[in-house]
Amino acid sequence: MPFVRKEDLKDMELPSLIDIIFLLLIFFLVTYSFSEMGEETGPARSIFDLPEALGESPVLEEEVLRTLLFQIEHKDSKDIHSPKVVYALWPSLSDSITLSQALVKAREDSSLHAEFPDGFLQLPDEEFQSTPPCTLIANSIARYKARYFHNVSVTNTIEIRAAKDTEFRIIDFIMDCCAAYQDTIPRIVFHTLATEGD
Amino acid sequence: MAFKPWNSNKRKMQLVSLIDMVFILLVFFLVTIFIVREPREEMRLAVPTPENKPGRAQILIQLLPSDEFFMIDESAMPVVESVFRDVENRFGYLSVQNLQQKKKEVVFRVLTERFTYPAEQLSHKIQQLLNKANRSPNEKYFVLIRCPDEVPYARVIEVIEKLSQAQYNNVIYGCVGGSLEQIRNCKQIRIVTEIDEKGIKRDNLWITF
Repeated sequence: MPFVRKEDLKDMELPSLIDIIFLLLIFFLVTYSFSEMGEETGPARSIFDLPEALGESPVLEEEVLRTLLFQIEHKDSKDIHSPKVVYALWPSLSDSITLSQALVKAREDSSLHAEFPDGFLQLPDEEFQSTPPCTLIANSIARYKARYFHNVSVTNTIEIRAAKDTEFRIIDFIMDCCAAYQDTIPRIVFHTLATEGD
Repeated sequence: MAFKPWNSNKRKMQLVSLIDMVFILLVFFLVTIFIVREPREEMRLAVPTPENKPGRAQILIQLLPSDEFFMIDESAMPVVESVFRDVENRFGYLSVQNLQQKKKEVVFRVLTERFTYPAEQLSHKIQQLLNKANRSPNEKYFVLIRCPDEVPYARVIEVIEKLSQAQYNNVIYGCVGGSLEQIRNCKQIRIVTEIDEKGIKRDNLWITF
């Protein structure tokens, strides 16, 4: 009986090979982008629950609060029609408080946050300036300046972190408060915070 | 002619290809979920604190609540001069005070008609300014952004972000609160001839609030 050589069995299966190559390509693309993200401080941490060392946790450089920061956001972050609230976030002397820790503290402490009243845009300047959030802002800047800004310096800054739809009147008031000290607070640093659903 | 027997093997599901497809879809959805979750970075922009004294700017950008913007620069000067001459010729019989008032009203109307632009032109206008600034690194350009109370501050940040892209950092900017109505109701709009640092005579537009 003659033997038959089955040549077909030894042929390379091209579609499967392409599939495998594509899978490998996607795998390397994905792992490459993740490894890049992991080198930085931010996004990867929010995706993965990375193990943390016990004891005093190191504070990331970017998150440390170094100057007085006013965070302005909606009372209910999911409702863009809810009133605006200002939080005064104070840094700690040892530069160890993070922005999120300061925000938690400000949310718990009623002396560190205040809500803008309805229709504050229509208020005359004097009335607007005497509302609780404006009083909080003015007093915080005055106290912070008295404590830390003794001389004129370009490093003296106040920071504002506000939702994108924050009315300019609020920002203008903060800038006016800083301008009252002339060159002692020469600049304001803005962080823009994306609004919910934006 | 005999019919071929029905080959049931040909209709079998290709399991290997199906698994490949499922894996590819799985990887695709995993990746897109992570991309969606990735938080956007915050922008950080330093803005000089405004000074409590009369300001001087070469370019004025007045944001309007209607998404439009009003922008005047040195190109507005010939228009203002021509309007003033025209008003003086037509209303020369008015008292000095009334003539000033008339000049203010007419110049405001003409300027707002000619120099108010839709929001879409903002980038183009700023780019023109940046190109000019990049061509002359030794010149400094001061841009004053005025924003009404009710307008979201993000619009100011958008302008500042664009201005800060000047190649030689020779575009300086500042922002203050204020509306177009305040310019309409200003005390006076006039032309003042001044000698600049280089000893060149320049006509400047003064708006007194």
